[in-house]
Amino acid sequence: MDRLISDERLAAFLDGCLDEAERSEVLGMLARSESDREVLADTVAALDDVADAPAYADQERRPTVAQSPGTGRTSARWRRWAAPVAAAAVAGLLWVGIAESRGPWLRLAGSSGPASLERLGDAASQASDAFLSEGLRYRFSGVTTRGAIASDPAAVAVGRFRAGVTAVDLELASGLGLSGQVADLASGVAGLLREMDGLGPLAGRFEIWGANAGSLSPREATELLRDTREVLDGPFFRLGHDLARGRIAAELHEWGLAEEAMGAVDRDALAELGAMAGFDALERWVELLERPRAEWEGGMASLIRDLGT
Amino acid sequence: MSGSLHDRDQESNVVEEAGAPAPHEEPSSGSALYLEHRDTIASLESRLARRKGLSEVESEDFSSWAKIRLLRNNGEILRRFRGDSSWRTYLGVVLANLLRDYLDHRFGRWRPSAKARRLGNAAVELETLVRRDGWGVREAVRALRNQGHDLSDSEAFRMLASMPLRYRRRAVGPGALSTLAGDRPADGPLLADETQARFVEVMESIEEAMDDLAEEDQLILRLRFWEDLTVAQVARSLGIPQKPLYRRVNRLLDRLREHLTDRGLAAEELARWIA
Repeated sequence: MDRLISDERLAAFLDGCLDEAERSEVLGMLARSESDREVLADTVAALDDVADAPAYADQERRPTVAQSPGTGRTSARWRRWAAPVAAAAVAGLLWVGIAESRGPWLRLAGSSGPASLERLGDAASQASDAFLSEGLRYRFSGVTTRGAIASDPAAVAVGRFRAGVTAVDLELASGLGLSGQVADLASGVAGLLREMDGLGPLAGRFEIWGANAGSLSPREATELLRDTREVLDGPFFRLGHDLARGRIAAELHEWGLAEEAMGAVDRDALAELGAMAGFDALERWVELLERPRAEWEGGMASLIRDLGT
Repeated sequence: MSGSLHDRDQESNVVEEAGAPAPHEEPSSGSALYLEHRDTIASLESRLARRKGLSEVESEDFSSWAKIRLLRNNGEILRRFRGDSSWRTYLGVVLANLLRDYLDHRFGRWRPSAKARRLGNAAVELETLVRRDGWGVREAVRALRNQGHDLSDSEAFRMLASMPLRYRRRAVGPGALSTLAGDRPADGPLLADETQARFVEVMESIEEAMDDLAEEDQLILRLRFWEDLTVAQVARSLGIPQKPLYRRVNRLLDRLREHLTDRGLAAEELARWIA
């Protein structure tokens, strides 16, 4: 079937530059035209794979009629983190592969699956953000003062969890020595910790780390993070950390590591966190991560498997 | 923007029906625009070629082929850009379309899927025999074995299941297994085995169930499973929130599952195929 949508219009659709009526029309055409779907899918995959700049760099200053404010934040987060973290993770894999000594929690090259930058970009965004899915993020972001966080066990738990997730990105970025990303991520973790009573000194360590990101060797960074993690090693930090590691590893098809990480997940802590935050989606992530390797393969096999399970 | 349909250019592109393409705000020569964006073009070409499973030689060939078309008529395709999107996205769409044309030019309208090409020659030949020529899976496997490929029936089914769905729906409804032989060429195998017939039946049922879904829901599933995008990519493609999309996909799968169950296709049977 010939295409129904011009290149200009499809590009404008992808960049979120069409008004609602035009967008609906394009959606209808895409539903009918296999050729247009193919071009759209190939474009998105190719743009996603371009790691030197976010794919939809112009989107922030354009109208995005289809997105809610919350979606915009998610999208902005993705744009900010996905490309550098993906690059950091790939290079981190290379780095940890040649490092003589490293902490066991940094060992991301533990099995033989091929790394896919495309999947990694996806994994990076999900690990950074989607672990804190709607209910959980709302609960956390709804509490904005230190006193309130300190008095809310759920908020403290979510903060620790989120710090654990972010720490994985921090490890990856530090593995590559990407000082800009390390500074941002360390600052992010510090910001989370500052919100919680009793963790100010620890937040300070992250801030120092961020400020010195450009001058720390990977080994020094690894040791610093290890020390920090020992202090932070409460159930919720570990939970976020292990889930993020497992998910990234699984997306990378680093199956051995995924199993290792998921084996360490504390299901009681998960249940407790979910109950406190009133959200059970984390269970879904664990279920996904615990699926057999074959079930992560794409295409129609995924569809048939998903239908059959 | 115009909401009209678009005609397909003879070789490469679609053009707006409503009048000639508007000139770029600051008229530039096609070659100047090409030089300005050549790094992005090269990067996108490389990634598109990899997604389609092109070899290094094919990738270089595509690059030359695309360059000629990008520069044709003083870079008409590039000068058509009007700033309605980012240059990167526009070039991505243009090159994805050119690659599609290149593959048509090289392999004809029917061509092996990228997944088959990535899986190797046996997968390409299997896909060609089964999806294009209408052979039965087991007959195709036997033919491939005779050619020296080491391929089992179950491996073949797994390969086919992992490839994009290019199933041509029959005119008759599900269950009419006796018509399968009629889909084949006269010199092809005579009988379909039960598994393949069941496979066809499932694919037809899935298509039926898809027809009952809203357009956007169909699109989501087709991009996710037929085009093999990740959920995150589907979300970005359609400009919809990512996290609720996981649940939405699951709900849609539940609906497909119910549809299949209603037609006597148990989930356990589907799972068994892939095991």
